[in-house]
Amino acid sequence: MELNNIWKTKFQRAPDCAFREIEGETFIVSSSTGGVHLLNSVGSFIWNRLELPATPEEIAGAVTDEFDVDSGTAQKDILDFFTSMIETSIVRQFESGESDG
Amino acid sequence: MLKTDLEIAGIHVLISAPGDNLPGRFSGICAAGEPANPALTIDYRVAESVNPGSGISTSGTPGSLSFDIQGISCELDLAERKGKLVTVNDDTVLEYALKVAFQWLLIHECGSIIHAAGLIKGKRGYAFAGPPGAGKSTLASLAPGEPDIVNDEHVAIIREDDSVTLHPLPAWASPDRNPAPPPPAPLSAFFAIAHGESESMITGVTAAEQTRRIFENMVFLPPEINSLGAAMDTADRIRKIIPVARLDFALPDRENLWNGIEQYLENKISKSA
Repeated sequence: MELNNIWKTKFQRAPDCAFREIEGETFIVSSSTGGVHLLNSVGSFIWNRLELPATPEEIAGAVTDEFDVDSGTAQKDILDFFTSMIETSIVRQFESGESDG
Repeated sequence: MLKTDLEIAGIHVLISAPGDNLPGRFSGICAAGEPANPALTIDYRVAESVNPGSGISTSGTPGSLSFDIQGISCELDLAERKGKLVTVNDDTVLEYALKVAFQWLLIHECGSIIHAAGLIKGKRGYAFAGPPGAGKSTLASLAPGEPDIVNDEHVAIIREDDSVTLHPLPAWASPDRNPAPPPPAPLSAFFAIAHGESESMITGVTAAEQTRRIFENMVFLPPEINSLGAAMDTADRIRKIIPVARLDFALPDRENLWNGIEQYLENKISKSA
């Protein structure tokens, strides 16, 4: 998927992931890939947002509101983060026609 | 119908099978003495062909598990305390199925089979977890004094109220193990081993990282979301009771290693007192 396309595409947590929030960090295990992931506080904030479908653009806005970070840095970091989450299959693209929660 | 009572770390599974007893390799986990109240009674059958060519397929709800793998079909139900198991006529396939079943039971009892070397030194139990080649056995063998080596590959650990117990895992295929493993003992600390360059070092990690380090060393976990969630909860409960740390193990620095381990534990104990 092209980076420009990622920016305005809705994503949601993959349904085959088990996760637990532990003292501000989020520990995620994918039952399909076996991958184990640990998210820091910002990653956990994003993961919580992805309970419902959201675009990286929307998430970036929420991150800049919540954390002390400029929008340029937030955009780059969030694109990198989404790229990583897509590659490791812990988020999936929200298909139009699905109920969004 | 013959019934065999198998036991690991205090968890009993009654295997009910027609015909002959289970193969001799399972005598290492046969319970002795009075029949216990089993966590599960499993009806076991051998079939000529089971799921030929299939990949792993698992499904479950909290308290139930089904898994189908080439050569294995298994359904377990904790509420009903019963299960069904069909495998091809192959001891190693049956052994794998039983290990998955026991691990699934253990994580629901707040315990787990862990890929770790376990040893008891004085009144303290230690678990050194890590992948093959990480140095588990070497580390255990370097312990001064005359520690009891519980196992240098797999152990079971179980949380009981406000303590965690280290259990030997019976040798599945060598029931005549000599010497016999020591009895269960309190586990004082869990170390996740990483390769150190020249210096051995113990590093504290965040709470989530501690949970992850325990979880990553759990073996025979069914790849099913409810089971994985139960395993994560079990790992998290265990790390709340005992110190969990990363241990970078450098063989050239072995002389200082055990001093460092003991000192780390003393510091942890004095802080929590």
